[in-house]
Amino acid sequence: MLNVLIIGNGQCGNRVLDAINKEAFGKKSKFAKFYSKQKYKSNVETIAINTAINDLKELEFTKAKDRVHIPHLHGVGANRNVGKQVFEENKEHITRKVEDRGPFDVAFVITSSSGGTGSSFTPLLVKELKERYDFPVYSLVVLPFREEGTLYLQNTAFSLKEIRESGTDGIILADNQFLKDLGGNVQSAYDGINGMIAERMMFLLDSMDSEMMMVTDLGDFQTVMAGGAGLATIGYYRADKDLPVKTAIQNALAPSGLLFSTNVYEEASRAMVIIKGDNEYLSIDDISNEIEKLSANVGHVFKGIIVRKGEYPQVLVVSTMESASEIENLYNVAIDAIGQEREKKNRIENEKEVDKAFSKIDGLEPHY
Amino acid sequence: MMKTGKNLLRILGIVLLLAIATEGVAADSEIFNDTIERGNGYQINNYVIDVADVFTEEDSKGASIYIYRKNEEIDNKFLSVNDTYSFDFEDEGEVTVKIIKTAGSALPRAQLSIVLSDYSLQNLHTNKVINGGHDEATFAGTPILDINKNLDSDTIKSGETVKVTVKVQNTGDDKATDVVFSDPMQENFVLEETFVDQMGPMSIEVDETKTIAVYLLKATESGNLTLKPTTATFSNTVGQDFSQATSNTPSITVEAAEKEKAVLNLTNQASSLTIPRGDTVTSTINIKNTGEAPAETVNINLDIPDGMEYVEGDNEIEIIDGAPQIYLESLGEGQEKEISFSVKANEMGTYNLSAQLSYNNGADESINTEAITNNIHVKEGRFDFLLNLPIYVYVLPILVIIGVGGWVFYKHREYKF
Repeated sequence: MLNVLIIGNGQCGNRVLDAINKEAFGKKSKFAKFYSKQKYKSNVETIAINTAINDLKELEFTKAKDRVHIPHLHGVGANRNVGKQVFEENKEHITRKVEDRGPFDVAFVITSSSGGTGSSFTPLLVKELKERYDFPVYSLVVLPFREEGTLYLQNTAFSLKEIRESGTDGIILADNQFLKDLGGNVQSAYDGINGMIAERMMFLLDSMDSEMMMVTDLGDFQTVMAGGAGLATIGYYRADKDLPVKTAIQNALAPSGLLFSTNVYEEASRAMVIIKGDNEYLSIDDISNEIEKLSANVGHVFKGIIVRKGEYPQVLVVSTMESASEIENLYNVAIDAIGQEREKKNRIENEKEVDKAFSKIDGLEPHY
Repeated sequence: MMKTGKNLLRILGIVLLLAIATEGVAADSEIFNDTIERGNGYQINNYVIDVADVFTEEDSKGASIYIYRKNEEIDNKFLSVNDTYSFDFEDEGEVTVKIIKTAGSALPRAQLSIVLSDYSLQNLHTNKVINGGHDEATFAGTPILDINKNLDSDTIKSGETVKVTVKVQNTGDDKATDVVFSDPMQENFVLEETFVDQMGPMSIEVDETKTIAVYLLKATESGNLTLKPTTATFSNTVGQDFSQATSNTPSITVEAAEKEKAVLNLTNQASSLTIPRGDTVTSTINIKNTGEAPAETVNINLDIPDGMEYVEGDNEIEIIDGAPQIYLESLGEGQEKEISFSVKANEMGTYNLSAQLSYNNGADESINTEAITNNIHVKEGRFDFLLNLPIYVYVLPILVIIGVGGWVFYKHREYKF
């Protein structure tokens, strides 16, 4: 049994982590925690870290003992520099929480790239974990809506770079903008995206610790994640009716099944495909044909098959990317945002000239 | 001139009467000195001096006289001229008759002098010559009025009436004339109604009976009371006045009137006669004054039996020393009150709700009574069967509840940040 650590940093990371914990109860009601048990196949420990206590209080399916509040006002205000300083001041406290729950075979750190706490804590935390332990640490980074503001874009650009340089064993990307564009409004997108990520994470954890007809394991996952540019995404499809398995595989690789905008057949470096369902739906020929088709474009594809009686086909694809045009687009936008922020700062400096004008009457009194 | 003459005669008459009156009881009064023919007589009140025979012969001039008191001859005497004869007159008087002379042949007559001694002339009502003698005389009698005042009851209650009947009977020997009755107002009574009222003046023949008055008197006070008599003044046929007649004075016992009393009717009715244990039943008490006086200090004690418990009631109900009570200062005539209260049945069984009433009925009498509901059957409560179950039936669910509660609390604390 694998020992898995999942850390959610910042508001976004906390909520995705809470959604995973909820998913572990099996899509039941909000009261499931009172009568049901989480169905993690592995030994999973979760930790939600935040500087904003209210964000921690909002969580419903993460145990109180797994919520770590780092006191600093009510957050760091999207200021990564402050966030980094707060982490440095509290890193022993944070790493002790990890130490108390270990040892682990693998860790996932979930964060938003744009916020304050998550984007600043995650690179430093990954670095600390990699320095202290020898288990692989993967980062699941949620990219922001492009219209959320220049600060968030700026934070995304720097945090994504720092996470990549932190020693993480791979970055799994989930793009709010991409997922929102698939349909729905911002509110439903927020509600749904966390659930989508949670559903894929549960499937991934399940597949790494299940007895399979064709085996994929943590080692395979590490190999996949080690390929390409260190960036990956996850595709997923769950059939809700009798559907050919090849169609399910195709849907998992389609944009509607992915968390990040990419053309797997063109940009992927390595991939791992896990298929789950009743034996009657799992045509080996169809599976082989689709895997071969993917292999022909990508290179090596690990495949695993989990037989679950009575279930319609479900397919999870983990794919690392050699290139990511969407990331390039994002950094182009981010550079503009950084420029805008620099101009704002310059304007503030100019306003200080105005302060000098006001200072000319310091010491004088009005006469009437 | 005629008028002046009449006035003069009146004055002379008055002077004469005064002279007679002031004369008092004259020692001797010659009331007659004249001639009376044979066969005639002279009447002095009820006495008649008959001149039965007159003798004119020289050697025997005189007259035979007979003395009658009414129709009874009391003496006779032959008197020669200048002879006198005296006889007693009435009680103290004396009459002396003297023959002065006789004369005549075909119609002999005698001159008499009649002197009345020791007698008040005021009492002289008849004094005249009677032609035909005593057979033709009219004698004055004595009417006797027997007045009887009669009551129709000798015992009545204060406020009630008694019928008074006044009758008179002339038991004398002469007609009563100018009879006038007087019936005074009665103390402690008021005249309620009059049926007959003949107070006179009237005449009452001998042996005649008349109803003078019939009326109703209403007693205003209690006690043994005596009615004042009815009196009558009267005269006889010759105008002779008599002492007033007085009736009897009937007595009557007037008892004090019985005081009006309050009578309270009390009912006590339960809303249901069969209830499950744990339920409430409402008892309604109705109290009505059917008497004729207000009831005072009305007190009702509500007796709640063991196994039942007083829950609530109308505002009139007070809890004193743990017991519900109703107190009314008074309950007027015809007044009615309805008071409800509810009790809870705590134990199975058959019960009665009793209301014990006491009051003053207005006649300083303390009345006690009681009103009881019909039997109220308290059967097994809806959940009483639970009490009969073995202990483990309770313990297990309680343990489960405690376990579930503890688990929920534990999980709540586990996820409460």
